[in-house]
Amino acid sequence: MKKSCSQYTPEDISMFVDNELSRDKHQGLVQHLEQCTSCSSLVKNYKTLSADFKSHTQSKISEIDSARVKQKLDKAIQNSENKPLKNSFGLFGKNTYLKLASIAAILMITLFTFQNKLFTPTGPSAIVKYVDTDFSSVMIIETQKEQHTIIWYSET
Amino acid sequence: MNKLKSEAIDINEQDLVERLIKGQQWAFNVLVERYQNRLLRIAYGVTLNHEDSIEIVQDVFVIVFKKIHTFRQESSLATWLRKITINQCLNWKRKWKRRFKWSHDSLESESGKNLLNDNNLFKETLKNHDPEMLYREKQLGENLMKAIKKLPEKLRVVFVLNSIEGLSYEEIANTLNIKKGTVSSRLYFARQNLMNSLEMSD
Repeated sequence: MKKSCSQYTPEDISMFVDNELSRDKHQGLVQHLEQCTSCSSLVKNYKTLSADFKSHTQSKISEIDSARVKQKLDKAIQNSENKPLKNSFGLFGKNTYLKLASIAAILMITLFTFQNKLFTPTGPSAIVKYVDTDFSSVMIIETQKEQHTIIWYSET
Repeated sequence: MNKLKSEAIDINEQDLVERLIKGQQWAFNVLVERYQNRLLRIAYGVTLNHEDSIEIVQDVFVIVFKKIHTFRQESSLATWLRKITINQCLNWKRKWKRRFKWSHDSLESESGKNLLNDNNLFKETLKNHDPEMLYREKQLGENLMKAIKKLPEKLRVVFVLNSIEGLSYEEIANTLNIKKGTVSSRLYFARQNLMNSLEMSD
């Protein structure tokens, strides 16, 4: 990159190209462009980038046979009508969290019920329960004095 | 088809939405006819992949089909569709990333694969141009697309909405729920980033 102009930042130029500068600043820059080659070439480059991207995308899209999209779409809609909501039940679906949450809930309930029997002051360790699976780890920790339960969860 | 096209121009948006809510298949066809190219351009701009953009736009229309009754006409239909499309594109990428967490995304193999796929998917194009010009244009385009592909997603989405949809900073900010200043700086970073990748001089 060559030296940039001290009067206007490249971000100003970027905003200028998008007509987002205030009217005064816009006018000022229009005049400035007549004498500053660095700024005017930046304007040109920014404009070219956008125009090229637009036309390239346009030409790519015009290659798509719209009848095909329609055909596929009709199928997809039929499918979605036949079997609604058949997604996100995989291992990595949303309900992995649900599973973990329910495990945590069950643990909490059991812990609260058997709290007195299991965790009367037996030792200094604060870890109550530790579950480690392929996808995540859950650790239940209890503070000594206050007996607050902390659930620690991490995705591996 | 021609009949559909002429009627598609005539029907106004509110009427179209009402018919969609009633579940009229005809209205749905008009919707697809009217917006598919626009949405395809956005989806292609973000994903840079034909197959993906077709699938995404398809999903968008399926969502619209199911959720049209939730559309409160505070914004235009186009704005609503655009938002759904952007969300689908971003979710699509996330899904993709998660599914292929360990596979390596190589630019070269990706574009090679696309070329193979594209042959049977798309009509023959641009028959009547000078082959040399066409080749040069293609090279330029490919380099630009490679550079765009390297852009971080956040910058790319903003650049797509700006360049392809021609939205103002305010409209982009509304679509993405970000601040106007953020739009401005992301656009500037995107442009700077692209110029560096393409080794254009200032």
